[in-house]
Amino acid sequence: MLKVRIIPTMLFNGISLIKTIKFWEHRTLWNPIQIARVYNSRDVDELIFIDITATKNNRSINFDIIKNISKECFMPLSIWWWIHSIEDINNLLKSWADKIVINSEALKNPSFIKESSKIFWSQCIIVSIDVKKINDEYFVFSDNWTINTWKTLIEWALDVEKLWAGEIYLTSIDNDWKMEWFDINIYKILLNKIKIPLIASGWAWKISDFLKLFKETDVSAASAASIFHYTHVTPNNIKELLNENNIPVRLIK
Amino acid sequence: MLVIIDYYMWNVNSVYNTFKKIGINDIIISNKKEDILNADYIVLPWVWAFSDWIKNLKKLDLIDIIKEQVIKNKIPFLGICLWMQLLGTYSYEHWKNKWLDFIKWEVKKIKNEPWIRVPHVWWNNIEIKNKSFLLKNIKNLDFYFVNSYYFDCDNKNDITSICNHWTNIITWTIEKNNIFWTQFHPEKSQKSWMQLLTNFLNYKNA
Repeated sequence: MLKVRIIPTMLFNGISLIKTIKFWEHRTLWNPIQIARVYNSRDVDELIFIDITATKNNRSINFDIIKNISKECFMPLSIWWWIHSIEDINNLLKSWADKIVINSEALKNPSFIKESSKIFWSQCIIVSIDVKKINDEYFVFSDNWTINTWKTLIEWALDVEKLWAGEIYLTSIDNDWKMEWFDINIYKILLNKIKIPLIASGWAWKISDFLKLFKETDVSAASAASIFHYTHVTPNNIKELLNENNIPVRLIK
Repeated sequence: MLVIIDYYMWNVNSVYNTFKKIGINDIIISNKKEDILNADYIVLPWVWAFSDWIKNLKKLDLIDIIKEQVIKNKIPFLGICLWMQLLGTYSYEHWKNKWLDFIKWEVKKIKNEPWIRVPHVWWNNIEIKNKSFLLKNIKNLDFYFVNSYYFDCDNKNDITSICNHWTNIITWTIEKNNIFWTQFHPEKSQKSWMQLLTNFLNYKNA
């Protein structure tokens, strides 16, 4: 039976892992390699590593860090850095990453999605979409949520699917600012339109947020960071609750 | 010596890493004929890609030597299948029986039922169908899958595990004497994979 995935996110500032208090306020955590080792020892389903200031600081990919993190991961690892070329993806996969996440580059140059999928296969290519609700419509934002593209979520998601993306990673901005879970409604709307897997991303604080998400929508996975860094909740705690409610998960005993 | 065949695709390092993790040190990544001839075990991360991996193998002139080792000399062989979403650009018929014909097989596409999202990027559990050497003593049968297609073999007795979640019965592992194929992404399936590898390495002693 297909199992839904709980995916911890590691946020990186170029030096160390961080946790975010409000969107732009960061506190330092630990060395990413150590954290990857811990998550691997806890048998998490997957891991996403994001350099959240790379685009802003024009910071190119540090392949040594990626390789060292990958060595600790015996589960799938996705990398989200400032990826803007086929060569970047090639080098990331050679550094043992399993999947890559693209956002702004995909918006600037949509054919980059198809070009990447053709060479590296769809399942390696996750397209991240950031949305904000304006007057009852969800619009796609780029460049770290600073520019409104005026594309609607549905319009862009359907394009992304047509361009052979393997998965969509969807984050709602509104709820991020408020540190609540995201709007379940957008997942329901989007999942009726697309056929590729969807990863829900947000800043959930309560285990019950995950239960609500998987009970009410058909998302394939949920990704979060703050709940694992600010509370004692582990990915397995979440999966235990999902399992009790008959949502298929991979539970390691 | 365990040889992981390198034909210039991307995932050999993670397979190598997993073998090292379970304590195997006599292991190399190679595409040299002399290494393959001296191998006690051969591992082939099998990839389907537009970049035509089979052309790489042909260019490296490895097909005959792999066949000799596996079929004639009965060296234990593990094929790890990674699949791509062909999306109709190449029909799966294009690939039918064009590769190592250790076992008679054909490629089938996972049906895109309304409740199934493709590519199939998921953890999923497998069911053991026939007596399996590869899957012995594995407590957790959840493995990580990344595929839109799967292969099926003619002799159903060679199929040792399946997934029957969908309208089709999907083959996940095939075992025939010294030849082992896995459909899933085992080097990313944590402890389950480590036990599977250990079983593979124990084949000669069985």
